Amino acid sequence: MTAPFLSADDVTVRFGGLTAVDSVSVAVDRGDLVGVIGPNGAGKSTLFNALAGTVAPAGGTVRIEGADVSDWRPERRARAGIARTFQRLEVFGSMTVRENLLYATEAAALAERPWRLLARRRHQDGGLVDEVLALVGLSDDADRPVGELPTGQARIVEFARAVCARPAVVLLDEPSSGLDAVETAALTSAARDAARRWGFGILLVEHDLSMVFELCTWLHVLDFGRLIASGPADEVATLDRVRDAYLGTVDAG
Amino acid sequence: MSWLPFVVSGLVAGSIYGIAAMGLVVTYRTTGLFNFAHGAVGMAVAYCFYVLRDEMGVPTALALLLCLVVIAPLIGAAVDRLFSRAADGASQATKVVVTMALLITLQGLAVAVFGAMPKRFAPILPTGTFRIASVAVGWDQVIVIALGVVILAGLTVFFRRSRAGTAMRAMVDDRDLARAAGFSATRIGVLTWSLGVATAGLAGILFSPLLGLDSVILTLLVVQAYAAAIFGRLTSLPRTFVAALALGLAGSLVLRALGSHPTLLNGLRPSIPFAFLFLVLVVARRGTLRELGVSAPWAGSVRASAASGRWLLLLLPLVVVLSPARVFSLGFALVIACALLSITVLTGTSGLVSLAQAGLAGVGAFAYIHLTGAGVPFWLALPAAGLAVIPLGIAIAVPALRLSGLFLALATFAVGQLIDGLLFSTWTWFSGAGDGLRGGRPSVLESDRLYVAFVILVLVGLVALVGAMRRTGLGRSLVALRDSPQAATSLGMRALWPRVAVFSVSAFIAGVAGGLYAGLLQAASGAFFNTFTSLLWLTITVVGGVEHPYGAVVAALLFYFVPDLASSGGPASPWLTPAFGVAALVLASRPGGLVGWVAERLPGRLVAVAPRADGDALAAVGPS
Repeated sequence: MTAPFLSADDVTVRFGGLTAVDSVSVAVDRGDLVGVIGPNGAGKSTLFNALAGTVAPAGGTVRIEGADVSDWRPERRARAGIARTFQRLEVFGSMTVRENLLYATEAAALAERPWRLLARRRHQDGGLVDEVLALVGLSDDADRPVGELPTGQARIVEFARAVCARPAVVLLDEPSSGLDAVETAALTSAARDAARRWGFGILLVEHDLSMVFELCTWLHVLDFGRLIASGPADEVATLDRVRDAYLGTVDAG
Repeated sequence: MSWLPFVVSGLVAGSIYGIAAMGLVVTYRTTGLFNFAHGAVGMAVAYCFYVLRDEMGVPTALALLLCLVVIAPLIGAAVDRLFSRAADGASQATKVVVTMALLITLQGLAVAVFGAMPKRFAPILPTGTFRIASVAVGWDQVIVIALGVVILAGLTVFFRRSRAGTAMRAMVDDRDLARAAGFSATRIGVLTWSLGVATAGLAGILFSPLLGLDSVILTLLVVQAYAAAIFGRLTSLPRTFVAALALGLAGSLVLRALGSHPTLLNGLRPSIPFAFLFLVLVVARRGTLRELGVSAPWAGSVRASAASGRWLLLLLPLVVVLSPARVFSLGFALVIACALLSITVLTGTSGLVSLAQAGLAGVGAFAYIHLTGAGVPFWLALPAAGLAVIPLGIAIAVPALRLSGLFLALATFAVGQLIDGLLFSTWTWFSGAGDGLRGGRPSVLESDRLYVAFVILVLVGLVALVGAMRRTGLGRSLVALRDSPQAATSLGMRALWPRVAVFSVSAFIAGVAGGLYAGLLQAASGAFFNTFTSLLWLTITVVGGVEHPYGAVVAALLFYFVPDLASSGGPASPWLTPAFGVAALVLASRPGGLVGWVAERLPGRLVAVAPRADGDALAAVGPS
């Protein structure tokens, strides 16, 4: 059996005396739709950052295709095939939607071959940008500056930009924050369609359970930094200890 | 001579630096705004003191009280209003520009009102002396050192113990939280800036008897407190004060050691704090220098990027029509326009601020002079002058990699001062015998008219270069890194090469401009390319528009050529500089500047704001 594309093996992250993530193992392969859920402060975002490379683990290993990448900086992991979105929206606000996506298609190549920074020509994207724009429903707004778009659409731009980097795995960090139910549903279906079309895997960290159950087939549940359950989404949802830790609060609220 | 008197006077100077530096830390910690005009504000208070005491005859103690208790809070309130309007939630570049514009405004006003000559400033403290181990120590010296310690203790207790102090600490992190706890943001702001102005003013008043009342010296001397404040990581008052004492001591001991080498001394001594500042910035551990407060990304747009510069050819007929003196003055303005383009390409594209551009242009000028002097033909010497400056540009860019906005600006400021102090003032290669060097022109361009026509062609070429750079992957990467460094990184981009490249292009343009300057004047002097010129250039470029290349041209013409047209040959009005300072304060948050303002109102797009689909059209067509 080959190694999954991206995995965390027994990863531990500490902030001072606080253990935010305590020997957690998760894995995402191409085509997988994995969700990580848990109450606030459970360590979801910290785990996410350890995978993306913005937080250094105190113990354990992050692997890409089996190789230890724990000390790789985020941009190197990105070039290896990990794309991501941000909890607090990060877009190129002065560029149009299309320019955001076009830049995603060329950024890694420019970083690897810096002399190409001096070339005027963009390397050909093979129609990828147009196809992504159509699939996520942004074709009509392609030439608007992203800074002018409402949050809902800007979130979709962020996701579409990640897709245009041709990743093997996309990490989504609370993509529904700031979105209403309709916008969340639009983003969810865009994510599912894109993953099916281009075959990448998704790891979703999210507190909006409807999006998680809509999109993910495999779930990990975190509580106080520990993994308390992992399994197929429909099975995990019925586990008592998961309900106690997390899901019960949804019924109450 | 004994070392001890130098130790005492070093501690005195250090204590004054310390007082100013602590005020800088207090204002930064509370507002998240690093006030480059801190020294200028102190200079303004010192002039107020001079007017009260020396011109109106108010007794010293009363004048001091009025300055610190009435005038400082008034200025503080004005500064608070100004900064909270212009810089709240703005980009870090805008914040730098706003405080820089205030510096230029105040210094310009001081020159306009009081003249450029220093004023004699009578002592304010008792001048009696006593002896410690056979060394005569002045009571004034003891008082100044004690004042520094008292202010350190007072501010520390104030921050730790008082409610207002706690609120000030909370303010920078979360304005709403401080507000919810019952503090008015305005009142805290006014209190903070009053404290800042009072410390700067006290430092200015204490310094003036030592050096005379001089607007430039005071503005820049208190600026030396930057180094101490940065060593205190812009948060710790005791560290700041200790660093200030050490700097004062170092300056004084260098004076003792090098007293017999005046040239070396004049260059080295002022450079100490900046060398120290640069080192602290470069070696600081990741994360210890944290930018406080909220900063938005630079509010530029890529739309305004592409200009071919061909409209500038319309200037060519002027070369024939104008009188010889006017042609020369036009040429001078256009040479400066070339230099300002080095700011356009850097700040207007990447949102990074450099305060060393005049120094870079100066190095280009001297490189040109030495190259032509060595027989290198003009056509090679000019581009070579640009290339020669690139290593310096890279020397700025490499620390810039780890440093963001504010700290990068400070590092460039230090580099500018070091170029000024270590190269221009000390090294004879840069000054001949101290009065500038002669630079030649090729025989074809011997006449001013032809030379200025050539300058216009170079300007068009440089504008085209800026436009071309922005259409490359480099231009796109710089905009991406400016709009969202995190997002650019998440796509695999590294900041290293784009930063190195843009600083290289900027340095090249500055160097070529320096070469053109030397050719036009047939001479160059380090005095012209000092740090004040760098600050002034940034300020006027912001007025013209830092984003569009035409902004640099408009700025240079407005500042260096138009006043000359109006004043029929006399010296330019001293009000010009403060007027541009005020204009920059107004326009700081708009990268479009005057050019953008006009372009928005022009129906026919005379100033080519790039067509929307520019990038895509190029992607499809490719280079031709």
